[in-house]
Amino acid sequence: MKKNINIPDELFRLKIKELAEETRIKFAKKGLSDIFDILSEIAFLIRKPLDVEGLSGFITYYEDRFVVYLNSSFSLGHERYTGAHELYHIMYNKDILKKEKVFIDENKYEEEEMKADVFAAEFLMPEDYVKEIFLKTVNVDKDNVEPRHVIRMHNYFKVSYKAMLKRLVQLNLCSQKRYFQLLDISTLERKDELQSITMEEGFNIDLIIPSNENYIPREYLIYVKANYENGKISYNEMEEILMFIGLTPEKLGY
Amino acid sequence: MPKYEIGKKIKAFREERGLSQSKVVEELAQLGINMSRETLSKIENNSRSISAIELKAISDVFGVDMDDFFDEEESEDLVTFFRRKNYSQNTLKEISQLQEMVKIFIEQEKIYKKEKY
Repeated sequence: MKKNINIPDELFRLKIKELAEETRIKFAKKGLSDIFDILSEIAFLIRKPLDVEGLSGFITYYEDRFVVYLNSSFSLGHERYTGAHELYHIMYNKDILKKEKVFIDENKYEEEEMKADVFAAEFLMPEDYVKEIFLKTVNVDKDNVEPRHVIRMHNYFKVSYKAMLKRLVQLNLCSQKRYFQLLDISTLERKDELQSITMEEGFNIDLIIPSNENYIPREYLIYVKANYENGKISYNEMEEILMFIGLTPEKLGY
Repeated sequence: MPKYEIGKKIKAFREERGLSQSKVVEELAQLGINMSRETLSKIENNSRSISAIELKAISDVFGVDMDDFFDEEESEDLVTFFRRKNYSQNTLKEISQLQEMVKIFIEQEKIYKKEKY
């Protein structure tokens, strides 16, 4: 296991925190707070399980719009984090995206990738609220944090166990020494143990298993349905289109 | 793409991969192509032309097709982007299906909006 928690520089984090707050307020004004709802609003969001060698997701500028793809064969918590990472690219890397068309290269824009990661943590786990929830639901010394405490917190913020743990260390609510002990339970080999403590704590295990969701923005379903009803596409065409997202005309009432 | 653009493209591919000129030259030597770092630099600045054999070896080092050096214009093809980053055939197939899906849904939007307005 990597013996480096890799916490960003505090001044750097505070700058990105401002951006995350700005973005959160922007969407809150429209009544949007869920990361998937936000991405659907500003991009063509695809959530689909694909076996693509560790690719959590990517963003591209395609046919004059932003397309965000999230691999739903990763755990839901991980997928939401990837979504927030891609949100940063849409909000703050528009120019690069329009020029380069796709963000998949970690090397070329290393700093932007790092900012996107810090943004994701700040966006999904706001500092003050994490502290408040920690005091309300955990409230132990930073050397005494246990897996069940992290589980309580990560279910509250709907992120992965690991992302929450790292955030607790970053905000000095959990010690670095405990980090490595607590991290071990999130490994694949110990997944049954994590699932069982999660259930003992009264949560379901949705965040720590893949959703395998098939999703495209709802308005596109409206377009397909309307095009069929207006005789613009045939039943067979509609059937083929729906197949991409695991739907059938029957499921839509046809 | 005009011939003088090839150098620019080589430089861009090299930088994308975070490789130094010396490293590229080293890898070329392993493929049996002896080129000095200075020569590679000249090629990148378009002050020396590149032979087909040298270009083939460079495309092997970068893991791209030789065709990628001759793109007429910025491609809109997602598969091309992923191919440049050395993803496997299986991934490229999946990406190609994703791309097809996006195209089809965007087409449905166009049909719908034409109908409405």
